[in-house]
Amino acid sequence: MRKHLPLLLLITMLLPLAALALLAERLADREQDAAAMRMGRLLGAQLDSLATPIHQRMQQFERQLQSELDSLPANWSLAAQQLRDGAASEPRFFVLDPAGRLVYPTSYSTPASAEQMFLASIQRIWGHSANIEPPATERPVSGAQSETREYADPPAPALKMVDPVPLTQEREVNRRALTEPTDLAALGEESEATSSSEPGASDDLSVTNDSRISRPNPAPQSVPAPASDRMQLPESGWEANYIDHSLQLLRWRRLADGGLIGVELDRIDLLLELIALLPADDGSLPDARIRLRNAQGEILYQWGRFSPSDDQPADAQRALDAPLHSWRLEYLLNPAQAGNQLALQRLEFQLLLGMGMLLVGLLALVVHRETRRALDEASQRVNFVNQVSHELKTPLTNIRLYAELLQQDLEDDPALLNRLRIIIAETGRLSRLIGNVLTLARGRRKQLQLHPRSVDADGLIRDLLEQFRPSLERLRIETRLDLAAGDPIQADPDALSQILGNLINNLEKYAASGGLLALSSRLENNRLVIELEDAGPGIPRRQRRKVFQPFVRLRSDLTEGVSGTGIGLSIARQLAELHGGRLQLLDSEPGCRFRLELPITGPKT
Amino acid sequence: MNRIPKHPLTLLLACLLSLATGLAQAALRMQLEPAQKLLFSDQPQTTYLRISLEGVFEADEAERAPVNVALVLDRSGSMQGDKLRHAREAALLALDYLRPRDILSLVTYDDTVEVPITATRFHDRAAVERAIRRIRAGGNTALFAGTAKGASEVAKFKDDNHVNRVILLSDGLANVGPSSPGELQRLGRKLGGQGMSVTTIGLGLGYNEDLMVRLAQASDGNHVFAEQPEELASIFRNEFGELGRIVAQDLVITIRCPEGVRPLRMVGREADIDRNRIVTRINQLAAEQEKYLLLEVEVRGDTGASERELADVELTYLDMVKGERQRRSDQARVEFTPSETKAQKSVQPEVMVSVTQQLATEMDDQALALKDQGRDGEAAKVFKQKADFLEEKAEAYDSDELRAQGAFSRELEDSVSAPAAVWNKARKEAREEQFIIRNQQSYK
Repeated sequence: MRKHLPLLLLITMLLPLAALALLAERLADREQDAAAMRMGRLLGAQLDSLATPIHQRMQQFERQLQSELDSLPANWSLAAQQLRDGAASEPRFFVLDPAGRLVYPTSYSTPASAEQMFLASIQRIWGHSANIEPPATERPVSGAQSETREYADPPAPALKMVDPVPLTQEREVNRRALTEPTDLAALGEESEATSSSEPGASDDLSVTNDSRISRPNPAPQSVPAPASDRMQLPESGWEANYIDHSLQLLRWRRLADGGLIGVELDRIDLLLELIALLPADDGSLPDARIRLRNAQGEILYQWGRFSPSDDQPADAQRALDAPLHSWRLEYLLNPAQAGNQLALQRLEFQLLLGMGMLLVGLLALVVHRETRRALDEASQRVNFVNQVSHELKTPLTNIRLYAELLQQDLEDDPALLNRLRIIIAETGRLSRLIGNVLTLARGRRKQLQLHPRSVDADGLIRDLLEQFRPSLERLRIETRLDLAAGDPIQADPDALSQILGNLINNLEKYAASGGLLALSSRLENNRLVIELEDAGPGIPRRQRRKVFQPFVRLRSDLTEGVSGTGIGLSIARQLAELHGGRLQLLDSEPGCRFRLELPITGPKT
Repeated sequence: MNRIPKHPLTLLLACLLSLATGLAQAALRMQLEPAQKLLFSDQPQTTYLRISLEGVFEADEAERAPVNVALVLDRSGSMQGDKLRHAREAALLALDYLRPRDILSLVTYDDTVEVPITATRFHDRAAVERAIRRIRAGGNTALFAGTAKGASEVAKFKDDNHVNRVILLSDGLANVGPSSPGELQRLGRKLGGQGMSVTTIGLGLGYNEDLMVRLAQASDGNHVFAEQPEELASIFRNEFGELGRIVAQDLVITIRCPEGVRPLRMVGREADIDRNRIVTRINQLAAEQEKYLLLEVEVRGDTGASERELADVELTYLDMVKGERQRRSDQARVEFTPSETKAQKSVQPEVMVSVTQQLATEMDDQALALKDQGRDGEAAKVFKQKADFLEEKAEAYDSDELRAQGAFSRELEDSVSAPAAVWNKARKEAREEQFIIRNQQSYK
């Protein structure tokens, strides 16, 4: 018990600590997740605040380009004529006739590469531009033009120009179906749904979803009574294309006569404006990097002092608003910095935990020492009692011896004899008490030894009862004997009388009110069975197991005013078990019934 | 040529007038020089018209137009060491040319763009010096973004009264953001259209000369190849010096050809040709700098007429001294002769030297393209043809300029088969020479 104490103490200390550590770790993990989420939201909000001015700038561009388109004549041939007459140094405008054929630009006097590129790109979207047109049935079409009504098949004879890159899937066109009235109705909604479609899909007659954003500010010109479903067609919008992997934005406007004019938003202009708009690397982002990437993931512009590796994923990103929706802003944090913070947090936590453990350990040590001292003191006390008992034993034996001698000498005076008998009985009781103490001490020291020999159990019981007779009579306890053990058994007589003496002694103390002591003995299956019964208040079922534990005294109402050491039953059971037998408390109502079983062959050695 | 006033008094008056108003303040001189004074009247022929513009500035230095300049410096990792040290020193020396009413911004770039000095009047020289000394190298080359940021700084104060320029120094390949020569050319054209020119200084042998040249060309700035960092000091001095001598900006030259004269092309320069009307722009013209346009035209022979108008030239420009827009116009005329030899003899050597220079340098494009494709032999052959052509014309017109150009072409011919490092340098020099010839750059 004493050896296990530090271990026990350690476990009781460490278990809660470990649990605490585990809990704290999990809490820290969760906190980290929450922090990451909070950070994500924060970064997202920052990107939003960057995207807003970009969007506003795009709207400015939109207004600017729209007004440029609006300043052209609202007639495709006049518009084309005016464009041809004007000496525009940069090819930016284009005009389609109602059949969807490119009427401007057609060719250039000087084949500058920029012009060719522009022409090629217009040619590229030509098929799509045709799709913007009202349904063919609504349109006056000449025989020659009717060939070009296959919208899915864009090549036009007039446009055999340079086509540096074949039509690729990169051409990202978010489209909305336009052919069916239901879809036309859907155009009015503020639906966010966008769908990508193959550029060549013939049944997907549609318009860019970008046109949706331009609906709030339709062209100011009044459309002179067009066909009923032409009314519902968007009048202007954005067209986003990819030419040679770079974004080309076209602002177009449909004319009332079925023609279509458009103007390009120059990509370099756009980049210039955005770079001017976005902040320089002014040191305000010491541990982060914000990037503007295009659809191919190429970095268009970036700032922030932190240089991430190429494969570091963005901590937050946000697509720009249409028509720049294929571009995105990315926020990258320095993971080392974040990791450092995290490691610091962990370290802090571990330090705290360590300190806590140290404190608890110190506390445990103190408790351990205190307990040990208390135990040492107790053991010293027991030793003292032991010594005293030992010292008492010899004089007590002498007293008893001489009292018995005196009893033999005074056979004729009954009153004196009676007193003497009491003296003898009390010395017996005292001897038993001292015997118990010594037995307990020996038991503790594992020095308890039995000296078995042949014993007449019934005789022993009778002798014992004779010793108790004065006290039993005084307490008016009736004795009922049913002794049928018969043959002698192998046992330590001192131990047996100590067991029974303790049982009777207990009965006197706690069950005297019942006024009964019933003792029976018999042999059963090579075992001596002695049962002792009283008619006292009994022991509650729940506490029956406890009665055999040392120093336990039950029920204050019972034990009150009764002296006792609380070791009797414990020693009795210990001795019984040492014999290879057992001592049990049987169920009985009322009172108690103890059953002692001992093997008749004596204790095994 | 201008019609000469007949009356002597008118002549005197005109002279006095030009002395009083013209000489003191005339920002530029315009001269129209046909390559031949006499054209053969019997058949259509191709000839050239040289329109030369020369900056004139005789006012005080203090009266010069304020400049609005963004110095855009590469601070990528490759600039580390000598290059950055010399760049810093050159920039510090260049500050001598700035006056308090000038506007300076300093932009540096690697992966990202920093603006150590936003566009402000040049009052606090010490702060600028501190900022220049603080520049440290490391990282990639976001050339487009750097130039764009520089341009946005210039744009803050850009107006007609300032000389607006971005000076870009780079030693490496653009590798962050748009980085193709085509894209940078478009950027240059945009900025040129907005009235600012970009001077590109290529340092060392690591930069992309095509990109740097096209950026400068499109914006009508200057281009210099500085092989050694030590050259930066004089380049910056020249560049800032030229900035201080800019007398005219946004020169728009509109040429109209009459019936019977068909414009073919503008040699060495971009121009919008719309039937008989040619428009071209020159961003800036410095004092003591002569820039010219070479118009190639086809003239229908005319036996009936003795004289004909070749072109009507109109020039508008911002006079940086007066601070207002000016307009000039002039007519170029030729005479017809039935004698072919007379026509041949009337060739103007000075004009033809320019024409030869331009035609020869056009061959550089062809030769460089061949060399880039690995067709070394053919490239060498083109350089040889060019040298032969130049030498022949040098004799014909007795021109040292052409002799020098021819000699350089021989060097190039040899460099084609030389090791890559030698060719790399030669290619940069070739591009630089081509640029200087095309743009009549005021310094080298």
